[in-house]
Amino acid sequence: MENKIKYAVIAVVAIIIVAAIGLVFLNQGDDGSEPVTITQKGSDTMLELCQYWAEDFMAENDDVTVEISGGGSSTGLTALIAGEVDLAQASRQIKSSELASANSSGVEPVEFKVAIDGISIVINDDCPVENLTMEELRGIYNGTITNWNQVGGDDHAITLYGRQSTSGTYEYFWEVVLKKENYSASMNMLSGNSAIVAAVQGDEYGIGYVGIGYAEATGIGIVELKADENSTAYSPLDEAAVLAGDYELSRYLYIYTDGTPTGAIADWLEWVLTVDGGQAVAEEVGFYALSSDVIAEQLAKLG
Amino acid sequence: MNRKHKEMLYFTAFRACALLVVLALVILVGYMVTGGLGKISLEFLTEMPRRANTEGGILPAIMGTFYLMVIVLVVSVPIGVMSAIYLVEYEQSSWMGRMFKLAVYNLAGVPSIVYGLLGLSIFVGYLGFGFSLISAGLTLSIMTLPLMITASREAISAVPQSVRDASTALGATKWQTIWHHVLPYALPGIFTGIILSVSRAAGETAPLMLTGVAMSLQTLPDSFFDSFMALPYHLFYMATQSSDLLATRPLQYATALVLLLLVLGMNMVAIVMRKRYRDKYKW
Amino acid sequence: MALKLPVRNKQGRGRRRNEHVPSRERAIRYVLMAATWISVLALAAVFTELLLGAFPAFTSINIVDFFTGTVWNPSHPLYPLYGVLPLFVATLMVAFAAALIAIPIGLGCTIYLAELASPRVKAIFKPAIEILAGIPSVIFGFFALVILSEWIAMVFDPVNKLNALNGAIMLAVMMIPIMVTVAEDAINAVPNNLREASLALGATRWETVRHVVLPSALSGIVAAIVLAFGRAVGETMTVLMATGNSTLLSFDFLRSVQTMTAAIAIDFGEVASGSDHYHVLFLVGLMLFVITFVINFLADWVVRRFREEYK
Repeated sequence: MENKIKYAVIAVVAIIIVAAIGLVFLNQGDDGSEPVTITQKGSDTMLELCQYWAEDFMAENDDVTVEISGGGSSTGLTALIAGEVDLAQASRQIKSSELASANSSGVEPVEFKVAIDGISIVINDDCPVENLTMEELRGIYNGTITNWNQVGGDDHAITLYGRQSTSGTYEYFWEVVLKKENYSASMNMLSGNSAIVAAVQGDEYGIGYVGIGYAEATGIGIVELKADENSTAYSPLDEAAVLAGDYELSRYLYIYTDGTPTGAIADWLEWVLTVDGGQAVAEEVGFYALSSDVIAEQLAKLG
Repeated sequence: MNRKHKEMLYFTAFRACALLVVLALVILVGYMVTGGLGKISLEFLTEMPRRANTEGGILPAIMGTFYLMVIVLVVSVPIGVMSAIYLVEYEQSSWMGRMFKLAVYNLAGVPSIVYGLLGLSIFVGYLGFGFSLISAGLTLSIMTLPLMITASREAISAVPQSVRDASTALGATKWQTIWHHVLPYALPGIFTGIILSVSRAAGETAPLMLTGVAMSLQTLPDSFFDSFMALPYHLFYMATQSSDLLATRPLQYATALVLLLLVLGMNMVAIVMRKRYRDKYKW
Repeated sequence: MALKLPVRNKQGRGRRRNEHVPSRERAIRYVLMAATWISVLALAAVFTELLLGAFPAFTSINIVDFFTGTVWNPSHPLYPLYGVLPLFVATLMVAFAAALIAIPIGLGCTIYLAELASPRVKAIFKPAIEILAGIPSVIFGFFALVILSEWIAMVFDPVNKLNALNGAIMLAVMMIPIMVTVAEDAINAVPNNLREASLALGATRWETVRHVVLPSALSGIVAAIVLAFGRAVGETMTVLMATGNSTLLSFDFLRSVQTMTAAIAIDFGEVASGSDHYHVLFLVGLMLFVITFVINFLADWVVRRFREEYK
């Protein structure tokens, strides 16, 4: 019987040793260069875009690891200011209050435009509404329009879906569409673009807003937007309209650094701004590439 | 309706209830197996994820879960077994024993997300381990500790007093008695507890979300202070957060199936082991 | 002690050897005791860490508004609102509904296993129930998200596809194994001579179960229900994935709701450490801890009463 204890102890120790050896050797880099890890946090809308970027960048740069996490633009910027991450991705510009707290803690945020997004208004495939004016959209989200028949749909109450309030998209929408008026109290606030897409997929009378990279999922339709009754309606899938600003909800997406980046971080941003590199990937994921003028402007900031 | 009919009616209803529960298990496992089996391949199990987890494999998630299990094994098992020995053999019915038992009992009822908060403030923050494997592993270890203690306690107290008395009568000290005569008989029961605890740790998600699990990594962790992927979180992320949820559904099923096989496999080993041990020693 | 030690050593070799053993014994005892203290310390650490984390919230937000506020919008850029009611209501709604589903089924299942099933049937059913208890909650959540929500949508035409009912049914399935395990022990503990006496008096088996066994095991069954309810309140992943996570206050089972556990799990990915929102989440955690603590205490109290009945 005593042997059993011995065997048990030996078995446990063996497992531990194997695991430890695995941990040490399994992933030991073969080259001598010191591996660098870059951490970046922020916008959920940009999470997958940045993940794609990171994978392609790492494929070309063996010695650099880029770790991306989400949580929302505010979260990312706060982490950058607190010195917890090297970069923050944000779907809105940094606020003056955030700049002030950055300055007081000795952090100098530098802004890089990295891609273009058209915020897409998504509805269920079965919803007959094709386009909305900005005024109608505002009415829907501030709670003055509550039934689809007020905007040309069936006679049924509208279910509102919006993002959680740390989201840059939440704030952008609040400023641009609602003109800083309160969101309707009956809006369901969900975390992440995917949650909104999933909710609208399952709700015939739902409406939500997401980044264009999330809008082309199965089972949902995209509403075209027009400035007023008499203007043309544009879809966020229409690249020309988004780039020209004819589509009302087009915006830049940003990455912020602390001070002018150097070394691996500068390489990373430079790659993101490369036409064949990061910009091509942005198009592939569903966002839009920056114009060459804007790219040149951003590269200038890299020094 | 006479009494016999009434009885039959009730008993049929009870039987139906029991069948319903087993049916729930069959349906649940059935859906995971049929949904995930076609997608599981060697590549899926041994490759790094690509294209924001939509392609490639889940190797980092499997390894992350494995490392978490190892940490739990190393930390939770010795503490759990030692506590159990103390509670059964040394501390009897004093107020201290009562306090220890109450602590273990209440620890078992703490919601898993609250353990996440504990890990976040103590291991990630106060001890400075950061968002890492070790923070998550230690959090899971504390979480599984009550399970470990309870199982070991039951196994040790099931050893009859006569075994102890016989050993003591021959002049053995208390510890000699425990080590040579109590523990060997309790061992299968303790092993069952170990397997159940570790499998619980493998399936737990919520504490990881606060202690350092990553959405996607292209490398395995280099040290215990790296962030990591884990199977249950990977499933959660792909099922609720990725950009085209419906398109990656097969991947989600496959991940769920891998996790399910891992946990259920361990559970079944534990159940079979306990059964054999019960048949072997009938006091 | 240090002063006494050399004196003892002078007492001759033969005795020293004997003394060596007890000192080793004592050392082992202390090591084991230290290991046991870890559980107590862990529980204390959980409570302290929640208190410390939540403490700043008591001064930075209005605590009355926290408990009575009906809007949970903790990170609004200008007007954050920390009303915990929507989360609290959601937690109770989902857990109570789950209990309502789980209690009759669980009870039926328990009676069947404890009183009716043949050993052979038991040998299949009991492991099955144990295996059900071992399935990770994230898999239950995934099932609710993908399969169960579709079934509910077919039957009820819900407002939101992911809704409170979806979470409640899934939680019920998770509660049943916990309930059955504890309640079966209680029924098995009822002495057989009670049953035999009842049967001998001409009662049917059902009448025996109904009038003799169940009343005798009542406190154990109640404890099982309370314990399972406590687990339902504290469950995170299943409700997180199943109930849709809308923070609107709602009493409608066919709408999305967000429970307290889900709010902590989701919001912590987005919260800046040290912000009001951060501390409020600890406060929610503290509330959750106190609720489950009280529930567990209640179950323990009932169980101890029950144990005293048949000694």
